[in-house]
Amino acid sequence: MRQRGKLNIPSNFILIALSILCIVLLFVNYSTGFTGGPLRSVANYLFIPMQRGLDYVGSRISITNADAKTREELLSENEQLRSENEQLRTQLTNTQLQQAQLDDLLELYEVSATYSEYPTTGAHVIAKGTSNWYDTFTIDKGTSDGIKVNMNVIASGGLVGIVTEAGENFAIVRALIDDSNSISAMVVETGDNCIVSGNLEMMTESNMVEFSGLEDPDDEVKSGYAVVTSNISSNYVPGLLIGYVEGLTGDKNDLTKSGSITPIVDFKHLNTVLVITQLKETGE
Amino acid sequence: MSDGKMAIKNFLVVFALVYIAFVLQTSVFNHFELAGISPNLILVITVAFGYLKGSRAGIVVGFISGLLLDIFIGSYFGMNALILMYIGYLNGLIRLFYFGEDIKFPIVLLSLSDVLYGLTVFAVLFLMRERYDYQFYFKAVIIPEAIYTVIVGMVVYTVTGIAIRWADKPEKRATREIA
Repeated sequence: MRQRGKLNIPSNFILIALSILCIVLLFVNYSTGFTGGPLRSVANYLFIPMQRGLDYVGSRISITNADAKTREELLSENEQLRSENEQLRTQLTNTQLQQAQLDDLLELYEVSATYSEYPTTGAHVIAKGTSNWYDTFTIDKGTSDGIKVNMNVIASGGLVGIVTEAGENFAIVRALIDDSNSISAMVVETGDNCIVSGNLEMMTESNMVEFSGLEDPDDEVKSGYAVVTSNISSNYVPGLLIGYVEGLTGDKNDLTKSGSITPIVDFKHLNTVLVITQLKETGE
Repeated sequence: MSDGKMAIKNFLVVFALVYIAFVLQTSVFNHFELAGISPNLILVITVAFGYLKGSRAGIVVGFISGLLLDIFIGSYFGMNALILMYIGYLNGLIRLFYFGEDIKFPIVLLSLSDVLYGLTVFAVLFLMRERYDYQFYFKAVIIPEAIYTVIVGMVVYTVTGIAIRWADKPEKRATREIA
């Protein structure tokens, strides 16, 4: 070690002091959910405007890249989309039939379908990729637009994630594919509950999320069945489409099943999202 | 120049570099992901300060930039600050044993630091939740991130080096401060 100046605080001392500070922050975060507090306004005024601008430039450049597809690629994509369209149309007809039935039944029960329409507000995704280990992103609306923590975020008809942090002009959204995320969900066709959780490994390999704890003794659930957020979830409003069951296997305990779900949202090309400005009421 | 002015100047340089790296990482490079991976430019700044200025600078820069990441990640607040701080510190220690001006050694440092960062995050976030398939995470996240970081990082590292030298210049001290 070389000689230090008299005024210099030894680096080991700084290291220990800041380590303790970090550990305290981690504890505070764990116990109270503190995520920056006043530091957030630093982010708000210094980073968000710049990110907003740069993201626009970045997305323009990358769109030009994506435009340069060959004719064959476009044709095959068209083919694929056509068949998908066909499938969706059949599905839609089925759904409409079921909807009609449901309406009749609801009328009988005198229950109005209150959750079919949620108030939403649109937002742009302005930053992503803070770390390769998380799937969180920043949107350009915050508390000043009425965004609150735990609001649900959707895009192209499916669930994207949940707001975990709200600054004045920005909010952080944790995507449902984030490895630490789990959602209480329900299979639409059978009404069985399960837990949907993000899985980085599955997501990287096959663009899927996993589900577990599905009780399905009569083997009713098949691949292709729709999975939505359940009404017993504490943070998610019910009835938001997550995706479709892809594969499923029985668990070792012979009671529950687990498997994979293809999310309906394309998380790789997420530019605009809708935030549901209604929080789940848990009656607490 | 007085010490106070120097401190302000150094602070501004650190701030500008971290700012640019972070904004580039989150708002530009996320459109240029390779295999779903974006480079870890924040880490490059920390490594550069640790190795070029010493562990004290490494600790402080690592802490500041880690905290910034934590604000934008929104969970486990303080974890990235802790990890990056130690990476800055370690790079400062390495400087005491070997210091070369060419770019080859920093490339080794960058890749090792990024792998170390990846391993730590994996251990804290994934092993704890019973995700044991370390081979997968090595292949899919840690190694690609290290490669991408080194490729983009060489430029960032060089720019940081120039900025640090510029900030140190008017001082005309015979030796750099090393803690």
